[in-house]
Amino acid sequence: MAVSLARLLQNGETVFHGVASPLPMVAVLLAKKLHAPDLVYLNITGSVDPQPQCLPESTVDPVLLAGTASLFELQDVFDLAARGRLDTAFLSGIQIDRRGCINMSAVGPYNKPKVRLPGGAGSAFLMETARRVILWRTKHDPRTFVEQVSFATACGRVDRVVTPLAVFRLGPQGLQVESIHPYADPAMVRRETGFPVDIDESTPVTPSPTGEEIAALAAVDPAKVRLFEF
Amino acid sequence: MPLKGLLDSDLVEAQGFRKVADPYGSGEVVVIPAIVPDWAVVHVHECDSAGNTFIAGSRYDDVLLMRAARKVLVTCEKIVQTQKFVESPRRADFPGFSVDAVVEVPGGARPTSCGQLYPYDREFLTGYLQAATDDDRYQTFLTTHVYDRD
Repeated sequence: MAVSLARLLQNGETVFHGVASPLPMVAVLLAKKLHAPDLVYLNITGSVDPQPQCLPESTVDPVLLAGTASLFELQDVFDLAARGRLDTAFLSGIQIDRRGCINMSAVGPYNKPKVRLPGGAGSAFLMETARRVILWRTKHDPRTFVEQVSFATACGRVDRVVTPLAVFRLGPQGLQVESIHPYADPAMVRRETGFPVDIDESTPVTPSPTGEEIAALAAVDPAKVRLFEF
Repeated sequence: MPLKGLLDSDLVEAQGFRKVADPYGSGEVVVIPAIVPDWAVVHVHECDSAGNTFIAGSRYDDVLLMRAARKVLVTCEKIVQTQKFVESPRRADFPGFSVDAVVEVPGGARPTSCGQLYPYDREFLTGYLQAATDDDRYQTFLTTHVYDRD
């Protein structure tokens, strides 16, 4: 997943992730080490292109400030997005639906929920202002990937969704499988996705991580913080 | 205040936010009411006795909170001489005239972290999470860590 996310990033882009985002953090640092050295990396701590000594499990940890030459705080990131100059934002949702809408607010009625979720006003803003949004979720099952979210915290400019089984792309028909990971199979993806997915033998397989990618991943994240969300 | 985005979010209806016609362009804009807390309580690195405030490293939303609240209580790791701010006024993240009270509380952010000084206390927070699942255990936790502390 970290490699799949990293491959989606282009050199020179300005990229942001929020709290609780170990996989995007690793993916951004990996992309910078591989094909995107000039990517501009922003996050909640206010750092710009940090070079952390070790990676934190909490992506709001001040260790992510290390090596920054300036401070660009969350309100600055929101302002950047509002001006149309934030290229990519990483977001996620407890539920993700076919339209690429996410639920981060509540399961059950909003004012009397069965489960109150962490909230996502920032997501609702970034989903419509970032030039594109990449969603990721480490859990791929029918409770997570639903036909329609019970509460749409945010809808908008979703480009791709990366899961442990596949990469989805958002098109006119909603989310469709772009590639299946080598260790997954079509039946599994169909079974674990709560909306119809169009997969057959011609559906591409996500290329396995190369030796170079695996070596770079080990160098960027030796403590395997990327596994924290699983 | 007006805000870009949010137009397609269910939060607008759930929170009772209003949409208005964009007076300078086309389409609609979500306008949200200001949140005005009675108090902001913020822990910082250094303060002088007048409340001039210095935060080392990440400020997150602390300055916004202080601006929003009717009254501001600042706790700090260390009270320093005003001269330190006079020598370098841009050092002040928040001006003393808008602060209502200052208290020196070294370690005041624990069990959470204070940037550059101490990390969050993982063991303590894990203990809290476990205790919070059960009323009896939570009472014991409170007694040990809150009521019976010196």
